Amino acid sequence: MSQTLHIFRKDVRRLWVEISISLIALALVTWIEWWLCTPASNPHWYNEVLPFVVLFFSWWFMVVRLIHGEALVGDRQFWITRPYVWYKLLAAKVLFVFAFVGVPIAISQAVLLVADRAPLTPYLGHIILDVWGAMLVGILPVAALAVITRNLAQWMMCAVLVILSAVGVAWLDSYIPNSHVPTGTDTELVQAVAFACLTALGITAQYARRKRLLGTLAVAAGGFALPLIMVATPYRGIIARAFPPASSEQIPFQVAFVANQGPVAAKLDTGNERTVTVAIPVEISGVSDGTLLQVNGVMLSLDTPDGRRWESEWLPGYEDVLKARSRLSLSVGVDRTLYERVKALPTPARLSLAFNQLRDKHRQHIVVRQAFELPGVGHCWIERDGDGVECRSTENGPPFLLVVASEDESTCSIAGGGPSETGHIIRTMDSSFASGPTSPLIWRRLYLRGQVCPGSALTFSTPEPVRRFRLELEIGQLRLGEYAVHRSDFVLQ
Amino acid sequence: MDSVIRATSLVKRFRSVEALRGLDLDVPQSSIYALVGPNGAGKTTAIKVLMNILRPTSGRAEVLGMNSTELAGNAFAAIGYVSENQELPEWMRVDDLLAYMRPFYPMWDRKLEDDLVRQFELPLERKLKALSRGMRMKAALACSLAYRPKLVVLDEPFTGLDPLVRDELIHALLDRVAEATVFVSSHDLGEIESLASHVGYLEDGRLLFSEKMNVLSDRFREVEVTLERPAPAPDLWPETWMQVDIAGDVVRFVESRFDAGITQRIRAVFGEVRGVTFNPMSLRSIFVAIARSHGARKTQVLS
Repeated sequence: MSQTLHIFRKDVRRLWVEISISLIALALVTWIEWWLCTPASNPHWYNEVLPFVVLFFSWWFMVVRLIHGEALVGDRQFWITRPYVWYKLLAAKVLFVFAFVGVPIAISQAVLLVADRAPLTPYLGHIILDVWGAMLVGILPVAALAVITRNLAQWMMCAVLVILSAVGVAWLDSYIPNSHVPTGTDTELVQAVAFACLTALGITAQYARRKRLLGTLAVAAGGFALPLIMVATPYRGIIARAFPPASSEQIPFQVAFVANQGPVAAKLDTGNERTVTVAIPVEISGVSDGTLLQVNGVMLSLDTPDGRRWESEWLPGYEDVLKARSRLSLSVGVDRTLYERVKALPTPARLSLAFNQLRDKHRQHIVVRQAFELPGVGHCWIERDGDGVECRSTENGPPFLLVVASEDESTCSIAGGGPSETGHIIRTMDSSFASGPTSPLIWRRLYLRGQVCPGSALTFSTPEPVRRFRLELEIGQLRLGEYAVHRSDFVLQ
Repeated sequence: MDSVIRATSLVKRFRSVEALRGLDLDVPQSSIYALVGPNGAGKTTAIKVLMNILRPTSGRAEVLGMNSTELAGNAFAAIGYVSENQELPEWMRVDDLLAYMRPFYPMWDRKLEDDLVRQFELPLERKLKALSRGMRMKAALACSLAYRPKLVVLDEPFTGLDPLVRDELIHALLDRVAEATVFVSSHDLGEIESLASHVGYLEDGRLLFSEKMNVLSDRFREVEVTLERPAPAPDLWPETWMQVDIAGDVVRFVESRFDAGITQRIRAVFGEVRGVTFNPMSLRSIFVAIARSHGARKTQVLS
């Protein structure tokens, strides 16, 4: 331990400039994280993205310099013929990273929680996970490259190769069938664990043996693990398990295919040289009060004229059903050759729908002020132009937040020139997303089409998932050509 | 333990280049062993293999009784290694370097450290990157002697240093390593002569010979023979004669096994001679003779 601390102290003395820069960058980012979750925020790339880039670059530079202080590649380094014990050297480097990356992240998170007047104790687990996450995603790959390179120039060359590989992996990811349907199964966690284990093994092996080839192979294996796991993951099987089949009698609503009655608009254009996007109109009705639905995935099956069955990939649905009756347009990609063959023919078709059913909970009817506390969620405020409500909540807040605004209860008519239709109800649901590595705060935005002003009454609730299931919808004879989406029909909603 | 370093059939290959070709080496305890040879002979490679900086392709070496491939961590607390091309932590000041090194060595002697600093006139408050090459070498040497290592390994330590600094380093080394074994590589024979008790000659990755310095000096003589009359060269010279040169009635050569029988061997070749003189040789002259003779032999083999 004494040797570990001795090396640690030496590194602190050597890298005090890098440490100072990274701490200043983190302080700035902490302030920005807070500012972004306030009504005063006015995000632009230079105040939202740039400080994070500076922070990560300062960490990366510091870690690379740290490791290259006792470079593991080469045969001229002073330290390799001195009584360094490899695991104590490695421990000193790990201690440094924890002290000047991990601990500052934890402090930054604690500062944000205190500023948000949230109690610290319930978030300790999240803070620890975030620190580990930042180490895993932000530092481990950088350290892995540093242990197999001799200097900053070599490291940068390797980093360019890694970035190009990452672009390749992202491209590969977009082509992996069925991989984008949210199933609640954390395949990314498996990838991350495999990557972390192999990379950490490579780093340890390099410290223990200083064999560049061995270390490089282990680090490369960590990198290759990602695409391998991505390709090898049985996404179709995972979807089948995550969404067990349910018959129409078992579900508390009705789903029906709606024959085309005009031009088709799709939310998702999957078309490319090989596929044509087809948008299938579907009506969901009879959804009981308190029940909400998310269409997580869509798949189309066709019985082709040659007697075979063709199935599309599972595509994410991106549709929320928040009312008793909703009409949806669900996009799927159809093989272009098949499409050209059957587009004019009535073809027997079936739509598979993967649903996530939610139950509305903890309803609160609130007359809102410009800024208000929403119990169980956090601090909320009305957007400056009255377009919606924004809330700041913490990472372990409710996963979903639903707001219902009725124009009958809107006060905007007085201030804004009058409502459009009496009795119109707007429902918006927001699902929380993972926050950045340095913030435990989540910014939520609920769009209400200009119908909220101080004094308006809104109903907030925090829906909770009840079950997932899959429903097969027999469409009957479908002429695909009537539902094909042209590029001009593609809409962003 | 009689040998501090022992290598057996040590081979080191870098792709197609064989830097060490079956090196056998024995460095006795308490000796100052000089490994000499021309540039590219494999001296630095041999040292790096012995220090476990490089792994041998085959063969085995033991350093302080330990397999060289296991030499790591605390084993280096008994070894002082200084190399001409070692990368020092140049951001450190000299006093920082000494203070940083101290806790690594249980046997670190503060008084010896102070003596070395004084003797080398080391500027404690200057950064290593601001020091001259000679000063940096002195700082490295101070850091490698202050813990009284059992073995001091020096790889071309005097290369590029001015004669004054060289003398200082050599004196410091001789003063401080009374009980230690010193293994030093160099291609500068002048400095080795004043330092070494043993010498080994490495060429093309092979050790041509290894022996005590005084035995080597006694073994070699420059011989000048004045013949009664000019005579033709015989078909075969004695094996121990090197660089034979005939000019009229004078024959000059280097005898590599000088002993009492030399006069008889001369008579066996030339018959009666008018006179013979024997001159002792410097180490430099000996190695030049060996190198040239070895080169000539290689040329013969190749042709």
